[in-house]
Amino acid sequence: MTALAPEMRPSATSRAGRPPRSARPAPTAWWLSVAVLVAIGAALSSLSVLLAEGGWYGLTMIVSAIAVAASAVVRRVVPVWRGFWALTAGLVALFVAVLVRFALDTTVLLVVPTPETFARFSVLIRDGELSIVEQAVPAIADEGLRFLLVTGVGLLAVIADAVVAGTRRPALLAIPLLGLFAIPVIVVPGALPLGSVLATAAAFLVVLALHRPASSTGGAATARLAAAVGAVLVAAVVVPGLLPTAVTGDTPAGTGPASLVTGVNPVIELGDDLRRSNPVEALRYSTDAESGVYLTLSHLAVFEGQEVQPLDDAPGEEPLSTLEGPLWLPDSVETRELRTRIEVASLRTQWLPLPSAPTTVAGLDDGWIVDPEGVTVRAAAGVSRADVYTVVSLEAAPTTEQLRAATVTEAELAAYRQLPDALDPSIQEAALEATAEARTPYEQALALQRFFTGGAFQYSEDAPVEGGYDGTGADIVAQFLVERSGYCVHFSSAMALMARTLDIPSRIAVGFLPGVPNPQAPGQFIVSSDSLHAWPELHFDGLGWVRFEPTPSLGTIPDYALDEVPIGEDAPLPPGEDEPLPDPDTPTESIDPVDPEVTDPGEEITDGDIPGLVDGSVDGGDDATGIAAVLADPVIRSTLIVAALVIVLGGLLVTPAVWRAVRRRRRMHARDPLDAWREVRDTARDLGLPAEATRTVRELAVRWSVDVAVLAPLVTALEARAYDDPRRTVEAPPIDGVLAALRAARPWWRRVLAVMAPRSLTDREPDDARVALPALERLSAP
Amino acid sequence: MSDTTTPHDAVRPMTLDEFREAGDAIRRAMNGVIDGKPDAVDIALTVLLAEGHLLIEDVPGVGKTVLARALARCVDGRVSRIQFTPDLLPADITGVSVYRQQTGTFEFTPGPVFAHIVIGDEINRASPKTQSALLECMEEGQVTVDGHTHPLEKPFLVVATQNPIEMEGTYALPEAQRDRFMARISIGYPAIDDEQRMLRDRERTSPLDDLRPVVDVAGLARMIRTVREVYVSPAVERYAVLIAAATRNDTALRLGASPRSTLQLVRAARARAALDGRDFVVPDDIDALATTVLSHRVILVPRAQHPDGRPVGHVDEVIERIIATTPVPVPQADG
Repeated sequence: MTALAPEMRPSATSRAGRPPRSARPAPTAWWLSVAVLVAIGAALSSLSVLLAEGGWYGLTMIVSAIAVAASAVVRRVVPVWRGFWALTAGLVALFVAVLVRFALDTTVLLVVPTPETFARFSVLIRDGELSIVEQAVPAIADEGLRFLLVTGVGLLAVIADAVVAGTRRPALLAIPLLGLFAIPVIVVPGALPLGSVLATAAAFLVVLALHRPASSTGGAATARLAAAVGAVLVAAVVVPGLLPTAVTGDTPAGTGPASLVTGVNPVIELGDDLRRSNPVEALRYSTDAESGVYLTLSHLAVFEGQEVQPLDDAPGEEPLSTLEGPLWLPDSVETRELRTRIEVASLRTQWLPLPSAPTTVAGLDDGWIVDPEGVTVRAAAGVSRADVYTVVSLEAAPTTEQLRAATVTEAELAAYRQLPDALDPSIQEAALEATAEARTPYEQALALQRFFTGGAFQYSEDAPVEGGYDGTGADIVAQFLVERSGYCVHFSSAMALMARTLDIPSRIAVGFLPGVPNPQAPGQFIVSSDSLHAWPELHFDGLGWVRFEPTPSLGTIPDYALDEVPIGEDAPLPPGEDEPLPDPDTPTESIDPVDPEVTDPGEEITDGDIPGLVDGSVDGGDDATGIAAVLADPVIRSTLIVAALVIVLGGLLVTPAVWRAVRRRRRMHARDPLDAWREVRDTARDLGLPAEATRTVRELAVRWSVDVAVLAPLVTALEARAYDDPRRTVEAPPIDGVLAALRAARPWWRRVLAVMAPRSLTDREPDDARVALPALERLSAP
Repeated sequence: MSDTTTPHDAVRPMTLDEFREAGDAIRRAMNGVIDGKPDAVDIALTVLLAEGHLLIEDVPGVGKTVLARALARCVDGRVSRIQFTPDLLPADITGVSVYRQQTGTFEFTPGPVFAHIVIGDEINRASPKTQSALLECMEEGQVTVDGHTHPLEKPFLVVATQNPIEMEGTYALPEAQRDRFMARISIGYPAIDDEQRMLRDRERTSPLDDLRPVVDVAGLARMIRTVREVYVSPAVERYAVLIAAATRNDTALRLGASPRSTLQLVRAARARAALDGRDFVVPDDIDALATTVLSHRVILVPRAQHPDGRPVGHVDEVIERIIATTPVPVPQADG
């Protein structure tokens, strides 16, 4: 083909007056927008594993629907620049809807935003971000979360609708859908609800089936739609059987209903907070105490019903200024004044974490009230947030002699001796058996503590859930005494209840373990959400409420509550030969807040039988705990989450480019001119140049306006390969120059688009000989 | 005017370079005579080399006859010209058997059709009977008179001209006979500059007179043999068939292209490929020739419309649309 150059001019006789080929998609019908919305809605439903309540779904879908509907209407009405105006309309409608829902009172004439509006938005965004960091799953969709959801999903919906309606690549819809799925997958691995996935897949296939060129007949589309729906149904029936249960929505440990003690009764949620897989820093404090302090949130004393309840006849609630310290501490007990400065990091609770026996609290506003009965402080209304406050409290140190001599007969404490009406007699039997040798109430208490920590009981956060006895009620205590496996609420409620059967007044305190010393700041302790704890307190006449620690391998036992057994150095572990060590391999222990971190160096604790742990625990331990400590830092964790998101999204973004590059590489290494041509043609298509199957090679070359000399070797080789005698072999010429010339002829944004979203990956047209075959069959049919 | 019996198959084909040289020489010579009509010249040459016949249809005075005569002049072969008139008889074309008293036998006197290139001027002026006599010669390559068969010259090209404007006293060629022509071209009015140059040139002398033959009959036979050797891949064959088949199904056409037209399309494409220096046909050859080869064989329906509702102005538009919408086959790569 030596005379290529003249031939590459379009021949006047063959090409003049050819009708223009329009590739513009026909105006999109309503149902395509509806299908997009359904797909978004289906994918959004996967967030139900993260968000428990708050009406977020309906609100989000309504706002998204408004925005998409505005887009669709404008797309139908506007004659020119359809895509642009439709997108603009969708965004404006979204903005107005968000405005009306979230900041109506800040607007002028209902829709005109004021600076106040944007201030409101920024507050909502901050609240939402805090909610994401602070709340355990499933979280409550508060106003901030709803704002983020509505805005984000609305934007996704509008853009997805614009992409599907305005381009020829409906498959791009998969990106926002996968983005929505990525949220539950990242936050709660393995909890993606199968129903959402299947519904989304179905909606996605429907979109693909509905999105067709205008020339397709209704029958073909119907057939495709039917095939798509059929495929989804088959998948819905077959796939669940093939999947491991973890994928099919069985909620794994750590994802049960919970939030960080926001309810009326903290115990109900405590177990869930302990089991959450992503503990966050709740607070940090510095104290002048010798070691970390227990921080009390609330007390529970009523054993009626399924759960232990607070005393509901608590006498009065008084302002914070009336706090005067515990009335029960007599002068005979040695006390020491402690000053503790508490910084709340991310804690949303009704109660204020306080060291025991607080006398003054400084740095809080009026939103807090005191419950003098238990000397706890809680928010006057709802959930409140404290930032930094300083507490002065009394640390009591009753002597063993005082305790031994103490009686438990004080009459005012009848409420703390109250037993449930139908108490399982086995509880009292167990109590009597355990304390058979005890002579005084104090010895009884120690015996009870030893009963639990003696090795017969195991610490497990999951066993009660699996065994169906998770809770604190009297019946559950009876079962717990049989199963002998549970976590702090079981130990504390069991001990409290058993103490009552022995006529010792008791209550359960809910709060935080002392936490881990902050390596960066001596004297400071960091308390994470999994340091939530419950412990029993028994009342001794003249000495007041005394803390015990029946939970094995957890917390610290006060000096006065120590048994007369050999004492170890540091380990918080109670005595017992069979005491299970914290084992990083068992799931129950892996999120166990035990660990050496909570060790109180000043505390003298039991058991020298556990070498290794004693030393290793002091400096913060082995690698696993080091990593765990690093992960516990919310900044690091959110950085990691953001990094993971960036990696996932970035991966999604570059996948087409990588795929395309691999294909290009393969073709450029092939020696067949057909491969070279396909590469050139696909590159042209990526760059938005015409590449119809109905054009010959030379016509395309002309239309691309690339220098003839650059393209001629390839055209020559391709024609020889494609149309010459197949016995002749033709080598592909190098095509780098052609590709470069094609790219050079296009604007920069086309080149970027060609790399990031190469349309040749999704666009099946042109299809070469495959198009020709059915066409021929159709034509030759009578 | 030698050697009219040389069988084509025995002729040694030219190399592609020789072929192109010869083709370019003919083109140059003809373009010197027909100013500004290279496309018409190319088609005429293509038809000559593809062993077809050419129908030139245009208004009077645009150079139909000049083109035909120029083509004839370039080939150093026997050329005859028949001016068709209503009273022309078949025997005036084919020749007659004349009784020779001296020998007492009938002797065949060949008519003007016994030439390498026959120019049939204003073929639509003759009666259908006479027209069909010529067309039979074109199709069969021989003449049968009084039971004796006389083979025609090889190569044999008929260039017929037709005036589409004049209706009075003419007999338009029926579809079946138009089908015998490989291609129909219109010459069209020359461009302003070309026409002005023509005024200057023709003032002094007729350029036709200066035209010297550039190829002899033997050379032409070798060129035709070369064209026959041009390779047509299955993909290109399919493309030609697809286009022809599409004309049969098009709603704007009452009559589609015949299988003979497909054959002639591919044959013409071979010649075009060879003229382009290729020994294989590419789809562009088909594209370039389809309108010329097919448009005089198909018939529009009354008030024909394109699929988008526009009225069809000329049958060429339909053929062009079909070319534009027929996928071009490219074989799949093996890997």
